[in-house]
Amino acid sequence: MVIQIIYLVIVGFVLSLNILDWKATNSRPDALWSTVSTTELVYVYLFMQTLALCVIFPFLAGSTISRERSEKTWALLRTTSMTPGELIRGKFFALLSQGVFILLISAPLLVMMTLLGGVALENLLLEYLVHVVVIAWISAVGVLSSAITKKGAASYISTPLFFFFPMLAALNGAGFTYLSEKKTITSQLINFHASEPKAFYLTISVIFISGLGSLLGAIHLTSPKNSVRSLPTRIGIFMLYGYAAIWFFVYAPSLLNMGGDRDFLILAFFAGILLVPLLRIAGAGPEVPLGIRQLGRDKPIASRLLVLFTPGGIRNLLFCVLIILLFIPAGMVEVGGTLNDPNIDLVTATAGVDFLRDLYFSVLFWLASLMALAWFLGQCGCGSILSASLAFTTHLVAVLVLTVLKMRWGIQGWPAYEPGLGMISTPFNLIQTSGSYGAINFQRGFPSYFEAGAVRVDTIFNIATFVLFTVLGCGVSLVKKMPLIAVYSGDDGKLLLDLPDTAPVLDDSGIEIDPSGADDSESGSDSQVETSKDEA
Amino acid sequence: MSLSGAILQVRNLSVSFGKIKAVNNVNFDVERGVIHGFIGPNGAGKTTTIRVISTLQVPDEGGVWVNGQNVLTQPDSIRMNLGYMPDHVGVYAGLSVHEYLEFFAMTRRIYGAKKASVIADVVELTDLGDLLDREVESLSKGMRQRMCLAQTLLHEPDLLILDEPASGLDPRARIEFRDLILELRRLGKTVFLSSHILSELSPICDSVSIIEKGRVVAHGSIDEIQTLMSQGKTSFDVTLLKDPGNELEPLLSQLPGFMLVMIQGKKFRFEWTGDVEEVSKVWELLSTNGFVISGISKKEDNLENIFMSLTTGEVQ
Ligand SMILES: Nc1ncnc2c1ncn2[C@@H]1O[C@H](COP(=O)(O)OP(=O)(O)O)[C@@H](O)[C@H]1O
Ligand SMILES: [Mg+2]
Repeated sequence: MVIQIIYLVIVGFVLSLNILDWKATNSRPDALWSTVSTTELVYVYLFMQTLALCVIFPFLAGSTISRERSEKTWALLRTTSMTPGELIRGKFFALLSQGVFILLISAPLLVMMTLLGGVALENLLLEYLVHVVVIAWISAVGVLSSAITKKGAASYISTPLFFFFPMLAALNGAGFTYLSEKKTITSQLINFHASEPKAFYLTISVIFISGLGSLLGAIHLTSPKNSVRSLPTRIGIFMLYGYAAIWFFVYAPSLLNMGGDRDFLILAFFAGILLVPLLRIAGAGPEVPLGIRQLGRDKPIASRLLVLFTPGGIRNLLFCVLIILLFIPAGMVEVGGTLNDPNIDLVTATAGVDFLRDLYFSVLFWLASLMALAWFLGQCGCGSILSASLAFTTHLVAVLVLTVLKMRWGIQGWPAYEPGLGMISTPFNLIQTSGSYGAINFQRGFPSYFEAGAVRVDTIFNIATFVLFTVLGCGVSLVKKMPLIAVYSGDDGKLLLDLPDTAPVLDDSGIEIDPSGADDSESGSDSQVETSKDEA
Repeated sequence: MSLSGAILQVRNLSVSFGKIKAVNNVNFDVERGVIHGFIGPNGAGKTTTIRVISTLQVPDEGGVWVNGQNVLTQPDSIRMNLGYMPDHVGVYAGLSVHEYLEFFAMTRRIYGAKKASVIADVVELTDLGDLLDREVESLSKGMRQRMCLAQTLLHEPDLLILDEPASGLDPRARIEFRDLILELRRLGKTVFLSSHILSELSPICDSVSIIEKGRVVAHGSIDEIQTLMSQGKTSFDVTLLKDPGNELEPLLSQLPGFMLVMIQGKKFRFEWTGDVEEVSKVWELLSTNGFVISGISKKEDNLENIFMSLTTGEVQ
């Protein structure tokens, strides 16, 4: 406490000195005392700070819920009046404030450095804002990662893994900006905004979507597995994807200019964001305690409208496919305005439009196929994480097998992994081709969807697997008598919504057995079915 | 909603973890204002049942009603009226007891002056006054249990669900804990507590359910269970003033329901089948025939024995 106060006093003192000085000279402090060495010092410090945030914070964030789970305080919290939303929000802001506190510790030092020149105070404050955003993002994703992992130890490992690539990229970027370029991230962002506003907003919204989506996902995981209660979260997830789709739609035309690496990285990143939570939702299995039955009883009309958004059985698959469909308009975009630009080579641009549409369609079909596989695995009883990763791996293995067959028989247009002439519709190739100027050429291995009489083997492959796994999943559900798309009956029928009128019955033991009890409870459930039918 | 006085109703409850049926078609009621013991060996399914009751676990089949409200459809209003103490009381590092209670008061949406008065009340009840500034981590097991119990009382719930509250307590702490629970019953609370050791808390229980391998094998008041266990027979040890010789058996055997178990000098033991009230016929018959009774004791079938016989499968 004392230390905090001392820090705040120092910050306040230096800040006021700075402002006084700035007012007196009516110019920036760096104009007075600017020296190269202090500038460098500030940048080195900013880099070290980023390093610390990226290295330490994921560990901190990743254990936030799992630690509570292992200490059994989580169960206690969940029996209080706190809603899952409040709990997750609380966790998020607790992490955020911890992170901001870490920043505050370093603040006095940096503020003093600005007195010596180098970076202007307001730029430094903006830079701190960027760091706060980074912390907020790590906190949000960390809360999700922590909510996913049940066991504390696993969470300690999984979260840093989760963050490994983004953090590596962040460190790389921070190192480049601070150490090589000797600029602030803020100024880089401002340049980015000036040169490519759409890409800028796209990037910002990716951060926003993934952060908000992570928090929503964590709430979803924390909510009781009751479809009606998870309805708002599901609708929220749907709306976030809708937002992402709109950005795709808006941004798609500028992809045409093929700025190169970054555009495709962003696309791959989006595909990645799309994939992980959707695969998990698809593979979540039909454990639908109190499915739509309850909602149907309370709100018969709303239940019909909302049925797709409630979890359970094939609704999981349909929900995910519905989200994928949101992205189709982006593939259809006609970019006449760009084509009329006299500076653009018309042939390349037209090819770009076709390529873009093909890319969208093949990615969407691939996603649908993968969803169906994950769903099928979920129906077979795999957990959602297992289903998601199995689906992903199976698809890769299938493509690799096809590749071997293709090399053996040299079949043209076969879906296969091939650097020169591959299909872009597998994650393998998507990642491989992203960031490559030659992406268009890879896609050229297939005829365009818009060529007359074109047959896309990759699409046939993906649609066929989609149908196959959907049928198989339905078959498994029927055999296992699991809810498929039932609205009222059959669906979690063994859960009791209404208290049977009978006294408790003890079986076998001979104690407190009421022979009429069994009949009564049956007639009790009959009458319940009747009420549901009446309302239906 | 509920016609009976039951505060807790469990019907056809089943919970599975993969192939393990942790809870298998469990049915019982708990009356309002009683102390109910939920007793069974480790792994019997107590914690799982308790988690369903506390709205933490979704069952596979059946349902649980608290105050006539279904845990699945109305978890929020149930939580307002239920205090839950988990089997292991975890604590947040660096908090004092007072901060811990304040935190949980806020999670119950109790703020301001109300919070201060509520905390003062539960602190007095659970006798935590001397510990308020202690760090939670430095507390002994018994103190932690009391602190957690205090936490369950903050929002003045009617039903307290305590999972193995007495396990790991030293004898003194256990006795204090029993007194505390009796005090809570006096305040009108219903206390549902689990234990894997019957003798630990059964002396204060009004009713018990005995669970084994996911099934409730006996349920009722302790008297009922004892009667049922002895199949309606009650044993009595009687001491007479002087040795009755051989006269006793022909005399008493005329009473239906009487069976002499053993006779040894002035002492004898018999089993009485049927209504225990009517055993007075034995005393009348003895006194009209000039036998003076110097001592009678009804032989209590030790609950521990009942527990052993129930949970070794004898009953099943
Ligand atoms: N989360 C879980 N996952 C798998 N099995 C579990 C889980 N929780 C409990 N079980 C199993 O269910 C059975 C009952 O456990 P529990 O309710 O904790 O028993 P008790 O509290 O009576 O000791 C045990 O066999 C236990 O292994
Ligand atoms: Mg237990």
